[in-house]
Amino acid sequence: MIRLYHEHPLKILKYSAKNIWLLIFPLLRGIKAFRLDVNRLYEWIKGSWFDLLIILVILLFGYIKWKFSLISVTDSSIIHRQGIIFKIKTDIPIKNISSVTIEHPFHLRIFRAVKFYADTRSGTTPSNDMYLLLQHKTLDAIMEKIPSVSRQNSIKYSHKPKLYLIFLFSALFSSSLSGIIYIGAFFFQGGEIAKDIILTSIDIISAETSKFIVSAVPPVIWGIMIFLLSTWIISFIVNLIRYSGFSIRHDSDIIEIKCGYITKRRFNIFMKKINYIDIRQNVIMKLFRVMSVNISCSGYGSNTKNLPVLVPIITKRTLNENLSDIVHARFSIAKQYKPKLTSFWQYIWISVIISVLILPLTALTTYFFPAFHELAVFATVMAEIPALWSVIVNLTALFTSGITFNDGYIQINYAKGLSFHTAIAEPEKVAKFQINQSPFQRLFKKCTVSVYFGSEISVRHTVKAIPVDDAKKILDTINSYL
Amino acid sequence: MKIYSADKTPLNILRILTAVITVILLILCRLFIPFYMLMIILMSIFSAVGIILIFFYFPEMFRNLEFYFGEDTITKKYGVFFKREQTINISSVQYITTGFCRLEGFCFIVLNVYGGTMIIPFLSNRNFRSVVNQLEYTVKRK
Repeated sequence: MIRLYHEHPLKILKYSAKNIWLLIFPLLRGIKAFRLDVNRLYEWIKGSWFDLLIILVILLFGYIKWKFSLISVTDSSIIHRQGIIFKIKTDIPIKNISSVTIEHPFHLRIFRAVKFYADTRSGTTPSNDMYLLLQHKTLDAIMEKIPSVSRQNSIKYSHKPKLYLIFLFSALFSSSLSGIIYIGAFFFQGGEIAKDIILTSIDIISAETSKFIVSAVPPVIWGIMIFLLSTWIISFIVNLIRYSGFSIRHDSDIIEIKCGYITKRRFNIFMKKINYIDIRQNVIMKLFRVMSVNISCSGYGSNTKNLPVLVPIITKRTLNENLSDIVHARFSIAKQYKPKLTSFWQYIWISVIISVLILPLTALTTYFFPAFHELAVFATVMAEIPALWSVIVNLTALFTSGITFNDGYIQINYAKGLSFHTAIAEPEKVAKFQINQSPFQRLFKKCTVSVYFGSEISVRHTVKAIPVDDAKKILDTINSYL
Repeated sequence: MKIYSADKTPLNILRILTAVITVILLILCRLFIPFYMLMIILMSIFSAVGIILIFFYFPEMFRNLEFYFGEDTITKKYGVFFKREQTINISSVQYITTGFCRLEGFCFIVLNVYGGTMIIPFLSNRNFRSVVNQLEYTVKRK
């Protein structure tokens, strides 16, 4: 007899129509008008009975929807049935699950509610295949059937990065852009009040800084700089909160990752379902020989909430010693197929042209809008820094890029944006192999090789200036694995 | 290889629904559009679309909809103006979603496969049960 479970009763609110919030304001108005007087009570009920009735109907609809949302777990699958008249049944075989996420948000802890996500390798968008809001006992019943670390096999590796490493990781992977996104979300969700608060704060920052800082730099520039710094700090704090308490352990089949103190998250990742490993480094990390190991696996880090981090910061030596059975990276071996040093222009031309073009653009702006001279100079400096940094990164990429086959794995070293990537996977997982040749490349018998691994989000791993003959050899080697 | 085609019951329901929606749109145009020319243009467009859908598009859509269930693959042939053929490997099916079976012929199956989805709509209840049983057996035991 298969036992049927309901979702957490809090789901009734979610199932109730979204516009239930529209009725809150008439209700608040009604409550405000309510007085402890028998005659007034009659008038109050007379005035708001319809609002109350609609709320009740909406809640009743949510309750019935919740009542008809049933979960069952068998040895082979998790089944979710929903719908009152038109029933929809989702049946996910456990052996096809690539990752399971359990989330304990702070605000749901007092209700003993847990968010459960299950993902398979299906689909072309990073949406969750199954999302349930559960009670602890239901979660326990489901998790009993899902393989987890240490139940069947002994733990092979367990690691909890020190706090300073989480600090370092949060600092390295924080950006003003993500801070702006958080503020944007605040704007969007908070409406006019949030907008006023943020805009007033920027005005105050600009005005106050101009009082304290005596320099030729206009207040608006200080305002922008402080705004960018503030958004970076927000992004840093968000990352710090998210990755605090990060820990990883794995056996021969499953990787378990835990992180977050405020919203506690636990991920069970099925090793066989990992699409590829992505080792990320920036110039500073490269100098200090540390790296961040990421994975591509459906359901892990595919939404905006988390980066798909396996180990936030790790040294090459520790990686080789402890995670060699997951990350099959080889750092000291020579690259089999790599660009020739004479192809340096292919690597740096975009960055060089951008950094050169910025200067006449500034001159033109100053010529036509002399009032904005200081602002234009500031913008030039701000734009030149990443442009020149990009020249350095791309020049370094010329020496580090390449494709190598080793121990049954393909390793692709390349640079994207301002960071270096090392993608590693079994050649069988290559979904698409592309050779691009520009007229100039055709002249020098070079090409750009792009490799795509099978995953929900299509990611291109590109190595430029590979000799055409080498590109054909790479393709032949990949085909030999199929 | 088993071949399934779309059940014809939903075709009539879709035709009736389209006719009702078209009539409602025509009434709304007559009542709420103050400019005579605009009203005539819109009413003509709605009538033409309704007639095309009822007498040409839906019947053709149902006629061209076919599913081929082989040992290892499922092929769906569909399309009215552009004929399309979509084939998936059964071994790449990760999980299935089913539903809407209360109304005869409205049963659908969503095959969530590695790298995409395939929807098998408008199956009769008998065909639906047979396909689901076969798929559940294959997906869970492959």
